[in-house]
Amino acid sequence: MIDEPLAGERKQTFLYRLDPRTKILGSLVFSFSAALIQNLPAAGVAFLFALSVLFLAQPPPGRTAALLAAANGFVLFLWVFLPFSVPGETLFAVGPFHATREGIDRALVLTVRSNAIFFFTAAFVASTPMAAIARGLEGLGVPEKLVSLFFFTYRYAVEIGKEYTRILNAMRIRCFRPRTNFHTYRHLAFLVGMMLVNGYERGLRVRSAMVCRGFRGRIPLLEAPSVKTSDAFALGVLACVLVVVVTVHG
Amino acid sequence: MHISEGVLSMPILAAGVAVAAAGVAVGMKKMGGDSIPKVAVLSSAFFVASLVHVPIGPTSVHLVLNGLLGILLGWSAFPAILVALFLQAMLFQFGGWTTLGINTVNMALPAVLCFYFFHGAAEGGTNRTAALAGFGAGFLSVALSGLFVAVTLALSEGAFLDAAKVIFLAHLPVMVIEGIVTSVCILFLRRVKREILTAS
Repeated sequence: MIDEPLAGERKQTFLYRLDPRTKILGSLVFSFSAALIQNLPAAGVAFLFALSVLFLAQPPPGRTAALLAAANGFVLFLWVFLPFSVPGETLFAVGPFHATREGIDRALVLTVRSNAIFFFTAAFVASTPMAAIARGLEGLGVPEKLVSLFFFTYRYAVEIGKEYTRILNAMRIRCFRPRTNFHTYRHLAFLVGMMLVNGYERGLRVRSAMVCRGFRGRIPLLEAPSVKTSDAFALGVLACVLVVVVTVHG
Repeated sequence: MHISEGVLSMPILAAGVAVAAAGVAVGMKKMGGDSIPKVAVLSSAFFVASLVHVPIGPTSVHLVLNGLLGILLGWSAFPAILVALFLQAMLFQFGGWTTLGINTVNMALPAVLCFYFFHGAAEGGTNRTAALAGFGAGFLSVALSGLFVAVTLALSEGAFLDAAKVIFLAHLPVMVIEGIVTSVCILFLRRVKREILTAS
């Protein structure tokens, strides 16, 4: 149930071969810069750049599209309100509500800059395996304990996800049909409780097994990541694009 | 529940990062190296719970369970929720770098408050008080999270005020469902595996 949806077969793209630290730093800088954008042309430049980076990453098209559509749910929700909530020149009216040009402009900027960030993040995730992300975070000074927690959580999420499917199937075989009633909520609570109990016991067993094999609280790295010229090049391109965005933004 | 990328203003995002960092630091300090697997199990359960869809009338909502997480983990709920949200961002594109801080605060702060209000009653006492504590934790944590999300949106930009009100109202039915589920879940854990409740 839980896999890395954007991973595909992990094509050996240019992005894939970059150092994870470069990619984390790059996507951090890009996300925060894009979140600051206030006008449409600048948001457009950021969006086009993110789109081309996504093409470079070559994620599986179908699943990527589905995830990006889902990510836009919140943006779509804001479209219901934003055009009517900003004062300005009225474009059209729905009952007592007046949609303004300014409101639609705000919503448009927001949509484009949000999607620029979605696309860029999708490219990052599609080109970086979870283990590399953990390694990159550690390389960038995130505390070891937090990185271990992240890695264990990912590992257990896969197991607990299986556990969830298994218990739910067992319930379905016994004619459990979720409806809006206390019976449903009660049994879903049992499902969650059982997931916790089984997960907890499994967690302890895994821990004991790891301690037997010499685990002392940190997961050692097999290969030391190294910064190459391609990393400098990638960060250089990103810097240039951000300069263009700032110039367009004015 | 999640505020997505590119929506909030920079001061709010920065404040979120600062508060989340402080909360995570406290949580990490209280969490020994030994308890990493336990916290990880609960944070992955929290992650999986967000995939559990609960029918409500014609539509469905997903479980949040930050109240339950708060009761079980206390301050460690901060790192647990941070990690679970980060995983969601990486796997499903829900949220991302910029909103990680504020989304963590919006869910973890209610969780920590629930720990102080309800942990005692959920762990000790009679089944009746534990059930009430569980309901209180589920109800309050979602109520507070909904309130925090609404306030965050409204503070970020005046124009979001209407959307913020609707978001808070949309949390009302979820509060009741979370209350019921958390309550039953606490009773279940007391019967089946009490040490999960006491180990924090």
